[in-house]
Amino acid sequence: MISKQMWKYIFRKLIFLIITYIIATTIVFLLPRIIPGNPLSQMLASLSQVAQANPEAIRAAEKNLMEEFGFGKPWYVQYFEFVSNALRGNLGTSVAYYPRKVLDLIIPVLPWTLLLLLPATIVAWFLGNSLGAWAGFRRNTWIDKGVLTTSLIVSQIPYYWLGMILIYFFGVRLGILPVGGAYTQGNFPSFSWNFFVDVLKHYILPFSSIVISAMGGWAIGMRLMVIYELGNDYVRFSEALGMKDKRIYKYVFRNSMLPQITGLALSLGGALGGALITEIVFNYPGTGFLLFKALTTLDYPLIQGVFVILIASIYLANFIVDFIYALIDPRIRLGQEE
Amino acid sequence: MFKTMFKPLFQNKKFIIGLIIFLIFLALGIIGPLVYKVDPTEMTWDFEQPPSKIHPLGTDTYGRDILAQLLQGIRSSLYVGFLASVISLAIGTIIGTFSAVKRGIIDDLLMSFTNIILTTPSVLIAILIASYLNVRSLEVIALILGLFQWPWFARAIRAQLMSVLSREYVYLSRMAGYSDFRLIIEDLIPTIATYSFMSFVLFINGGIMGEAGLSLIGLGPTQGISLGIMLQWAVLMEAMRRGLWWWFVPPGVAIVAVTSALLIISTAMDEVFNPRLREE
Amino acid sequence: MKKFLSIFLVLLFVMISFAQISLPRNETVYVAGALWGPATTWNLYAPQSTWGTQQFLYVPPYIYDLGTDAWLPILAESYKFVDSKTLQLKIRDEAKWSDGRPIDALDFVYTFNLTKRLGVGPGTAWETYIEDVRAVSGKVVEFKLREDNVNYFQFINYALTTIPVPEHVYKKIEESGMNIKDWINDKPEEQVVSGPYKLYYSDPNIVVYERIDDWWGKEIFGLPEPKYIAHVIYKDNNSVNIALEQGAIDWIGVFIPSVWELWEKKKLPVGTWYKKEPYFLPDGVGFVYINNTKEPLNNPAVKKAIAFAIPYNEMLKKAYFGYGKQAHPSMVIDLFEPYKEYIDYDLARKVWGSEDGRVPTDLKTAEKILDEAGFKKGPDGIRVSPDGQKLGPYTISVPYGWTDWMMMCEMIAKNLREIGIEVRTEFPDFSVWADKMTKGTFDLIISWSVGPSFDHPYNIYRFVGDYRLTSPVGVSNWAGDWERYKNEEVMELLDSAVTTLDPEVRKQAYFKIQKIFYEDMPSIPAFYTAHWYEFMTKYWVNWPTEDNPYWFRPSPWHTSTLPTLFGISPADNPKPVPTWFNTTDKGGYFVPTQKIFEDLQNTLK
Repeated sequence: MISKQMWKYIFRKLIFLIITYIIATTIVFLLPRIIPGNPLSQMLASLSQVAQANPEAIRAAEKNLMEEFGFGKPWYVQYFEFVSNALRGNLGTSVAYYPRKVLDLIIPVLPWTLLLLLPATIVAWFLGNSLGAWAGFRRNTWIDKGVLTTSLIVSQIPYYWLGMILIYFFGVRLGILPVGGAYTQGNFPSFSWNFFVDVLKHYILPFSSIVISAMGGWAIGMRLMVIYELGNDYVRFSEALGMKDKRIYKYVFRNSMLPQITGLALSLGGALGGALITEIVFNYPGTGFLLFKALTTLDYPLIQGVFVILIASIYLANFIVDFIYALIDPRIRLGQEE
Repeated sequence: MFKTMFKPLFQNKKFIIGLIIFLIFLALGIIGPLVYKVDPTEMTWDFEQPPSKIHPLGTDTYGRDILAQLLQGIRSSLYVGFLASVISLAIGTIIGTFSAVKRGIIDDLLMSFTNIILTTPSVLIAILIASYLNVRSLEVIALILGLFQWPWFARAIRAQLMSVLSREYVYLSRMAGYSDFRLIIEDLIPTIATYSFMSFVLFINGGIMGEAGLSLIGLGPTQGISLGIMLQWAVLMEAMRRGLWWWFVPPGVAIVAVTSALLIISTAMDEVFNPRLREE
Repeated sequence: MKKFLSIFLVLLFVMISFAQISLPRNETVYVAGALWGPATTWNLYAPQSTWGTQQFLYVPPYIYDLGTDAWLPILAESYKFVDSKTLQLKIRDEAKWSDGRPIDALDFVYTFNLTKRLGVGPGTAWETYIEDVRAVSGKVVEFKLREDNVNYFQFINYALTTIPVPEHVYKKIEESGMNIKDWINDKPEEQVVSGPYKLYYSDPNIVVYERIDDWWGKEIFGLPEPKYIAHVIYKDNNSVNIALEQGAIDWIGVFIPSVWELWEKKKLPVGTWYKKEPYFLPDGVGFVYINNTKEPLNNPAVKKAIAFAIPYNEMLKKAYFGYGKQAHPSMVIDLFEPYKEYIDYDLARKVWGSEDGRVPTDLKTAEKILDEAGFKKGPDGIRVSPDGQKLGPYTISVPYGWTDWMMMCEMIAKNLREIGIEVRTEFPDFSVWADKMTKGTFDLIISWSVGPSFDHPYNIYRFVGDYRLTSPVGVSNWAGDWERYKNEEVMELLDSAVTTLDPEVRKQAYFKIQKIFYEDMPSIPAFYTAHWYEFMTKYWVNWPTEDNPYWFRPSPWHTSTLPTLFGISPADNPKPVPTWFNTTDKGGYFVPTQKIFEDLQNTLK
C-alpha cells in the first residue's frame, strides 16, 4: 500500500523536521545565555527570607550553588555537555527544585497536558469542520449565516479569558463545577470509578474552553474550502451528469478536508501554547503549570527541558499528521506532488 | 480604479458592521483618553467600587478607575497590534517577494527558513524570548509577536507573485514596452493589495491576542496599561473569586469586539474580492 | 471490535471494584501557601528542602518562641554552660529516630561535620562561630565558642537550633557512593525521622504527611491532633482562596486581598491573628533602601527628607490593605512587648517629634530640611545640591507583579517629586531587580530585611548597617547591607553587643546605634511586612490568635511552626491547649532567653 514515492515523501518530511528540531532546541539553549541574568537569584532571595538570622549561611549557599551549576563555563562547552547529556536522556538538574532532575519533574505532568491538549484539539477540529462543512453546503441559508457569525465572534475569544468567565460563572456564581486542579484534593490517583468521575468533572471546564475557542476557526476555514470545492468544474460536471447530492458532497467533503489536515499539523504549536495558558488559568497540573513555575523562578535547566520535550512532541504529532495525509492524499500516494 | 474596487465593499453589510465596530473602538482608544480625563494610575479612596456615576465602570483594588484604564488599554493594545502587524507584513513581503523574484537557491533557502518558523511552536518561542527580556516596552512585545506571524503570509505572497509573473499577459505587457512600474500598479497591486490588507487585519488580531496571552502569564509589557495587563491585574487581585466582574469582563469584551470586528472585515473583503467566493 | 469491547468492560469492572482512596476529612489538616511547585527533597542537605522537612519531619533541640521570648526544648532536655565558652546540651533519653535507634550526641557531631564538609545543610557556616562540636557522652553534646570571633548570639543560635540527621542512615548513603546532595529521601517506608510526622504520599499535586502514632515525644508533649497534614500544590493565591471559600483548606499562609470580606461579607468560618487591622502579625521590616554610594542621594539631609515624604499610612492603607503598620525608625519591631525596651523612646520623640517616635508624613518638614541643607529648587521644580548636582532622575523599583509594593512605589515617587526629587518608578523582572539590589547599583528600592528573633534588634542592625557583610558595588551579595552603608563606629558597637554578656551594655550599644542611624539615615524602615496566616474553624479549632496567643509563628510555611499542631484540636472534640505552652516559672516548658543569658553570665562569677 505504501508506495516508493510515499516513502520518499515521508523521508523528506522527517529530515526536515529533524533539522528544524535541532535549530529550535539550539535557540532554546542559546537564548538564556545571550541575555544576562542570575538564575540563582530567586532561590537566594527565598533563602535570604527564610534563613533570615544568618548572613553567613546565605553567603555559603551562594558560593555553593554557583559551583554546583557551573554557569561560569563558556557557552559552547555548556552546549556540548547539554547535547551529549540530553542524548543520554539526562536533561540536567533543576535550579528551583534542586536536586530534582528535570526529567523527573516533567514526566509526571506530561500526561495531563496530553490528556487536555489532544482530545480538545481533535474534538474542536472535528466539530469545527463538521459545522463548517454543514454551513458551506447550505450557503446563504440561515444555518450558514448563524454558523459564520457565531464562528467569527467565538473564534476571537481568547482561551484564557473564556476560562476566566467559565470559572466565574460555573465555579464562583453557580458553584456546580470545580474550577481548579485535575481532581479533588485529598484524593489520590487510583484506578477507580469515583476517581474517574472526579477527573471528568475537573476536566469539563478547561476542555470546553479550549474546544469552544478553537472550534470557530476550523468552521470558518472548512466553510470556505467547501465553497471553493463546490465551485470546481468537476462538481458542476457531476451535477450535470445527474449524480446524487450525497455522492457529490462526499467527494467535496473529502477534498476540502485535505488542507484542513495540514492545518491541524500546523496549528498544533499554537494549540499547545493555548493549552499551556489554559492550564495556568485552571490550575491544571500539566506542563504549562510546570513551565509557568520555571519561568517565574527563572529555572533555566527546567525551562530548557520543558521546551525540548514539548517541541519534540509537537514535531512528532506533526509527523504523524503528515503521515496520515500522505495516506489519504492521492497525489502523494501516486507520487505526483511537485 | 480604486473607486470601482471599493464600491462593492460598502455594499456589503458585514463589512460595514465590522468597520463601524472597529472604528468605534479605534475612536475609544485614540480620542477616549483625551475626552475622559481621569488618570488611570491615580489611586483614589474608592476601592473596588462597582460601576457608579463617578466611576462609570467601577474601580479596581487600588481605587483606580477602570474606564480610564480600559481606554488606555484599548489604545495600547491597538498600538501593539498595529506595530506587530506592520512588522509581520514587512518581513513577510520582503521574504515572499525575494523568493518569487529571485527563484533558485535563494528561493529554496528562504522557503525552508519560512517552513522552519512555520512549524516551530511560535507561542513557545515568544514566551521564551519574553521571559529573558527583563524590561519590556510595548514596542518590544510587538516585535516579539511580529517576528512569528509572517511565514504563511510570505508563502502566500510568493505564490501570488509567482502565478502573476508567470501569466502570459505579464510577459506580453513587458514585450509591449510597458514599464515595470505600470505593470506593478495595474496587475500586481489589486490582487496583492487586497490580500495584504486582509493579512494586515488578521495580524493585528494576532498581536492583540498575543499581547494579552503574554501579559496573563506575567510576560507582557512591564510598563503602561494594556488590555492584557488589566486582565493580569484582575487575576492577581482575584477578581473572579471576589465577584469583581466589572474588572475582568470589560477588557475581554474589548478584545473580542476589536478582533471579531477585524475578522469580519477581512471575511467580508474576501467575499467581495475573491472571485471563487463571488456569488453567481 | 468485540475484543476491544470486552477489554473495556473488564476495565470498567475492575475500576468499580476498587474503592476511591482519600484522606479522612476530619483527621486531616489541609494546608496551602507553603509549597508552590513540585516537592524537591526531604533531605536537609539541600539549599531548600521541601516544606515539612524542617517543620515536621526533623526537629531541633530547641524552638524559639516569639511571644514569650523563650525556648521550647524538643530534642534537648536541658542545656548547661560549663564555662562562658562551652555549652553542653543534654539530649532527652526518650528521643529516638523513627526506626527505634536512639538520637545521640554522635548524630549531632556527624551532622555538624557533614555540613562543614558539604558547605550546605543544617547549621550552614556554623564553623564561623563554633570552634568544635564533640560528644561528651552518649546523650551529651558539647559546643565550644570560637574565641577569635566571639558572637554569643550566633553561638547560642547554632547550638540550640541546628537540626540533627540520623548518622546511621546518612553513612549508608555515603558508603553507597551516592552524592548526599542528590539523595531525595522520598520513600515513606525508608524515611528515618525525629519529628512526629513522616511522609505518607507525594505527587506533583499534593504532599501528605502522616503522624507517627508511637512518636518518642508522646509522653512529654502528647501527640499533635491531626493524623494527616496535606498540602495541595496550587498555582497561585487565586486558586488557594477559591478552595478556601469552598471549605477545602484549614491552614493557610497567603496574601488575601480584603481578608475581612471572608467573614464580614461571606460569613465564612475563617480567621486571622487579629480580628481587626492589621489582621496579621509582623513578619519583618520592609525598607526603602537608598543607595549610599550615589551622590547627592546619600546626603543625610536628602535621606531624612525622603523619610518625611513617604506617605506611610496612606500607602499601607491603599496598597497593603492595612495589613502592616508603619515601622519604627529605630528599626526595632515594637509590636512585641519584649523588644520595646531596646528603643530609646526619648531620643526618638525628640528627633522625629511624634508621640511614639515614628516618622510623621510631613512634606513641609521635608522641604524645610532640603532648603536648609542648601538644595535649591530649579526652574523645573527639581532641586539642585549646593555643588550643582541635580536630585534626579532616580528610579524606585520593585519586581514586576509584586502589586502591593508596586503601588507603594508609585505613591512614594509622587511625594518625592513634590518635594523636588525627581523619581520615577521602574518595575523590571525579579532577577534584574535582585541583581541591582545585590550589586548595589539601584537608586531606591523597596525590599525586605530581617524579622523578629531572639537576637533582635542586633540582627536588623547588622543586616542594614554592617559593611563587612557586603561587597563592593558591582559584586553580587545577598548577605546584607544592600545599600552599602559604611560606618566604623556602628561596626564596633555591633561587635560590642555580641561580645558582652551584660544586658545593660548591649542595650546602650543599641541606643547609640539608634542615635547614629537617626543622623546618617542609612535607609528607611518603612513598614512591617505581614506574617500571612489564616485558618478555617470548620474542622479544626483552637488556632493561635490574639485572644489565644500560645504560639506566635503560626504560619504553615514558617520553620518553627510545629507547636501550632499541638495546640489545635478537632472541631467536634475541642481540647484545651496543652499546659506546657508556658514559661518554666509558670509550669510550662519554655526557657526564657533572659534565663539563658543569665546562666551564661553566671559562669563568669
